[in-house]
Amino acid sequence: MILRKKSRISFLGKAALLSILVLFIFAIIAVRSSVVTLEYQLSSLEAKKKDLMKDAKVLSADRARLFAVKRFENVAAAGGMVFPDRMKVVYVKNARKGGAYTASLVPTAGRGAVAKD
Amino acid sequence: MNKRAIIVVAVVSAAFLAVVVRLADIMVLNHTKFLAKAQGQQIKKELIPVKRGGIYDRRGRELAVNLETESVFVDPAEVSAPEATAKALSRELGREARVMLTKLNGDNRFAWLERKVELERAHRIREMKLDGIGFVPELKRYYPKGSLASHVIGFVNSENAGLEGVERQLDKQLSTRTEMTMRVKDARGNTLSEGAQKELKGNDIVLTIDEGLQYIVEKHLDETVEKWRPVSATILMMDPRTGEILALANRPAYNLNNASDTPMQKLRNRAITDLYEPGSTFKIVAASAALEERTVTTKSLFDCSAGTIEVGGRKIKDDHHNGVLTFEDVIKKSSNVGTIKIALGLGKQRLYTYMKKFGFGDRTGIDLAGEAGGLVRHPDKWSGMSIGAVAIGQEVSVTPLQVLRAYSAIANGGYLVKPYVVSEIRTPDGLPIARTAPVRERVLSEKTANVFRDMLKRVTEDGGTAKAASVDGNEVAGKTGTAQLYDPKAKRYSKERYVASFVGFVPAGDPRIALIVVIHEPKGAIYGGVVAGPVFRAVAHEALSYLSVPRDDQRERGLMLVSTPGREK
Repeated sequence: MILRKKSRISFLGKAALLSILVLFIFAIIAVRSSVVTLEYQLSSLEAKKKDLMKDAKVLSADRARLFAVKRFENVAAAGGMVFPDRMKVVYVKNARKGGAYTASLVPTAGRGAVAKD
Repeated sequence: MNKRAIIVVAVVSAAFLAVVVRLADIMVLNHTKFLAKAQGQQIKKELIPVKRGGIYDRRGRELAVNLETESVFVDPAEVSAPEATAKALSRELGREARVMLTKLNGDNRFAWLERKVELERAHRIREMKLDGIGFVPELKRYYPKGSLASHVIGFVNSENAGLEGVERQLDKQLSTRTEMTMRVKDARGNTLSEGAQKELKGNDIVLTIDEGLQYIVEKHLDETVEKWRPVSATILMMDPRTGEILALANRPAYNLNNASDTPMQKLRNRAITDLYEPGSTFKIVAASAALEERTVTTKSLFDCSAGTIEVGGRKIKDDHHNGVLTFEDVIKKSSNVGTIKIALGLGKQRLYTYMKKFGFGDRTGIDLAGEAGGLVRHPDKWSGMSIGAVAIGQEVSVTPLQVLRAYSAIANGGYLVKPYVVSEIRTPDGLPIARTAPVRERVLSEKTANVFRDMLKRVTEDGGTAKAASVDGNEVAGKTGTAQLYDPKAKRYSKERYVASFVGFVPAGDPRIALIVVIHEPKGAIYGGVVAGPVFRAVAHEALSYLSVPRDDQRERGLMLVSTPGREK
């Protein structure tokens, strides 16, 4: 009876060992296979990124073309805008460095619209 | 165990042993050999495409960029239906079907069908899934502003090597050495790894050109060309204090995106390559030299009532009748007689010295290829009448840039500046690695320059030759030029062909821009004040507004406010 028990244990042990070995080999293969799959996915994503960057560059070049000064003037002229009359442009000179300041078109005697400093 | 079982075990064991031995052979004994073979099939070495550096204006606006494109090629041996393929491709590529068919039936295993096709079009061709048609990614140079500043920027050839302008001059900075990357593919040709994801790009160039000012200049140049139908025309705008070229335009010009078949005469950067006799704009040399050398004062008088003067057996006359003129009036009215008298008082040696001081006869050193130095003969080679001719801008050949630079010396208090178009060179990451510093050399005293500047202001006042060049709200200092072209066949100056010019700077008191307009052989009028003067005014008016330069009379007109201290909240 002891002999039969021993042979049963020995058989189960061998079976377990074999199973572990098979599982181990399977795990290695599965991991390597996943790595290769991930490599393919990565490569695919890199290719997509490349395409998107190409598109971005094309859009950037288009943007540069659309932002041409000549185009701005044409669009502005079509919208009824004109080159500013320099008589209607007022310059504000900040005589004091830093800090808040005010300026207004309040005329002073004999000097037209000039604010005092 | 019975015999059968032993045989089965032996056979199975032998089979396993054979597999193990073979595996050992492949993976251990001949590992290196098979690895090399596998790598040879899987790993492909490729050159990383090099992106050319960008070119920008002084405000960072793009003037030259790179576009991703694809070039289409064919392997004729792989084409299964040449006629159908040729028809499909001809529609998309805009070429005749028979031309396509010739390439598809070629003997070689490779032929380009079209270089640098836009991605959208390449994608449509790809979608057709045509046998034997392949694609190679390539970078194409694109100029988003078309023909703007074409003579400054230049262009590249199909291999992206610079051929003209800054593209050529700084070709080494704009490009960089390529590197290899290794792409890994599987047995079906699918990419497993793209290799090192490096972007190789040349350095970026920042120009002194301002796109807005360049557009203003080109707009008015086109209007002038349409009105006067000249053979050619040039406008140059420079900061007289530093030598930065703000705008440079020539006509005829060309579109940088279609430059490959442009005829040579359109490619010439006439602002620096074309020589002409400057005429009255050259009077600045004799006049300022005489002031500097104190052979005259501003109050000196010159009798021009005869209307002509004889020098070395040749009679030179004034265009308009003048009486006795002051030194200032000689310049204001552009009297040839008065100028020659000034030159005679100066002497030919000193006149020549000041011509060289002002940079005539030598290249300015601008960072663009093809600059001409001009022609200025040594006084030893002058004839008896040369002193008269040279004083009024004949017998000398100059470029528009040289004339502009000379007037800039008056504008900035007596310094001859070195003009340049490249402001900065930056790495692809934006770090500046080189910056151009202004270079200048004193040629006149500040006093002489200031006095002469005041005299040049009067040219655009009533009675001056260039009232049409005056700018509303700002004082202009400048000079007109109306020079006859020399006819080598007739061996005399032409009575029909002229060069009309105006050169000046504004605002005269604190110059922000110096500008020269040169019109070669205008039809219908010849005088610089009539042809070139109005162009100067139109360009200067818009340029001053663009640069937010206030009017000189802003205080009087209430257009300038001065701040008062406010309360902190």
